[in-house]
Amino acid sequence: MARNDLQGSLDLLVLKTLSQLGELHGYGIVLHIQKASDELLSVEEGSLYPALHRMEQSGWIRSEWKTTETNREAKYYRLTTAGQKELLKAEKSFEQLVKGVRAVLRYA
Amino acid sequence: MSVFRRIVNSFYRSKVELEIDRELKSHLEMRIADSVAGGMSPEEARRDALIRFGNRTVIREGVTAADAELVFDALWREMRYAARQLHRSPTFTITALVTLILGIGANVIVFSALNALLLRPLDVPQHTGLYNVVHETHGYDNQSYPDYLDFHSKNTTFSDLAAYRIQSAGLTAGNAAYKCWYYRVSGNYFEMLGVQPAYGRVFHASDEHGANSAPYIVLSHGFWVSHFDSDLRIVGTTVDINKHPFTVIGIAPSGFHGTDLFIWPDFWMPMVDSPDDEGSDFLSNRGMHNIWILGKLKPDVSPHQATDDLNAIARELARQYPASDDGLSARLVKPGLMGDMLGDPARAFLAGMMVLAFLVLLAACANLASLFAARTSDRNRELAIRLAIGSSRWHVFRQLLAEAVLISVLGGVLGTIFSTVLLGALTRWQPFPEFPIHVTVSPDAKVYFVALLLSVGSGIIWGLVPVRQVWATDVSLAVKGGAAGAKVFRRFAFRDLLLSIQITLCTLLLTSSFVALRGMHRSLHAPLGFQPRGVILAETDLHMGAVPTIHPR
Repeated sequence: MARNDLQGSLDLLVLKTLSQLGELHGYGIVLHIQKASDELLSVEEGSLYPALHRMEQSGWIRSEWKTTETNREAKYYRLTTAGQKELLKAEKSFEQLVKGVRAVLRYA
Repeated sequence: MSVFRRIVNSFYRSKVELEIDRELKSHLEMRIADSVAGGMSPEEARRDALIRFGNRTVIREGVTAADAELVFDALWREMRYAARQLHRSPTFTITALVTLILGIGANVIVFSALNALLLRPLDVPQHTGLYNVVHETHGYDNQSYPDYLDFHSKNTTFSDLAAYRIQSAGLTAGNAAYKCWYYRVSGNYFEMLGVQPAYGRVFHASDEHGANSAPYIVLSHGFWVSHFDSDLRIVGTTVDINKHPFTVIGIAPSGFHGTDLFIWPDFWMPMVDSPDDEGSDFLSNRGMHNIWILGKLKPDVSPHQATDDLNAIARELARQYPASDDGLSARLVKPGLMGDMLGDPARAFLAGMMVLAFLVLLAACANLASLFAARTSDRNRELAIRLAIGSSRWHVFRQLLAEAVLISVLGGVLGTIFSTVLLGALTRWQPFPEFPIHVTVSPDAKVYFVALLLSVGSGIIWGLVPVRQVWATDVSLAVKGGAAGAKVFRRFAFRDLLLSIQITLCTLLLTSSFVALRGMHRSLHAPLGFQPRGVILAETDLHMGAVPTIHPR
């Protein structure tokens, strides 16, 4: 549970972002999460890269060095099949977490 | 999911870190560019980006830590899975463990004995460069005291040479009398070994001034505790040894038990004292060989140089005293085995035992290999299914490796415990109650290291025999209905080979142990030449009552 709610939600956000946008570098992921959440969520840039590395080593995402539109070198990440499965799992467990928390909050 | 890749990473850590740095740099640059586009000045944008990022070193460490955590997670998961697999087939696990326990246990026991007898140095503070000086002829280890004095004064290669011998005597203190074993040693003995007394003092070369000039003894710690109740007042008092008065001048430190590995004397006495009549003439008689010589080499002298030096002195002595010293020669041996009296038999016996124990281990390994092979072909279908649903061969291999490691480490630990218990019993055992002999063979770090090496080596190498099977598994064939066909023939051939090795080794071991048993049985029942029934052996030591030795006419 403890692992699920904090670290798990960052994983979920990153996986979802990659599944929606296909291929993206770390900075792009930060921007997208910020934009898509109406500036409610901001990813701490310091914890993003360890998370990306861990997910890559676990085989959920794959990376590749490419050139951006502005002609810069950047490492692009994309989802693997295992990552898609992981995303489904993470979504499910997040929904349950939200459900559970909501139920506790509404308990009267 | 590759442990291998991550292990490689940990060797090329700097390469990974370079890549991380490059990625973080690209992130920073994009952030700065965006901020500048949004209207910030470049310096401001740079500062802002750095603040957002925090400490880059910390991030890099975070990335590598995530890496390490994954490795341990994966290993732990694999070990847990392996434990479950083994738990599920208890017969296999128990058989493999018992095999390993016997194989490893036998080897640990024999290696401990070898370690105690031949590898471990004397238990004295300054044990480097210590050698017993014996004759070139094997089995002829005693020297004469006058020869010792000549070796001592004429050699140029030893920093010191000491002499010692073991004797028994009666010690009377107050009303109590004990039969004791003690060392008669040259005055420089304690100094050369670097032994400091626990209480009081020890005697020195300067205490010796001719026959019976130093009536002092130093008690061993064990004797002082068991016979004098650790009473410090004993130091300075006089006790009688064979009715001759001696002053107790000190107590030896508790770990020190003389210069033989298995003898624990009760006290030490200067060699120039003779509390019985058989003693004094050997001090002047060049023909009486009844002492051992122990020498400490000078720091930069090799044993070979020292041997040459002593042999030169021996040749000179032979010229000078042809009657007693003709053919005198010197050889250096590892100290602690009563001159080298026990050396040759111990070496021969232990070499034989080591070979036998190694054969036991080999038989155990053959057994393990066929166990693992059999287990893998039983699980052929399971492994094939796992391969079919997407598990990589590398993954299956790692799983088998985890099981082999788990089994071998467990077997090694249990085998070592088993042998430690047996060795403990051997250490407490006093083979001859009338002699002060303790066989201390308790295992030390060296023994544990060898045990670990043997168990992991035998477990892993033989546990991986079936890997070939995994690699050769044809998934579609195996899933359809077991691996039939040509491969079966080859696999059985391999297992037959293992079986025949096992049978050969076991036959050899059984035969040799039966030969040994029969030999022992025979020597226990050897005809004595008289009827031992009703005969009782009585022994008394009249020296204790100062009765002189009666020499037969």
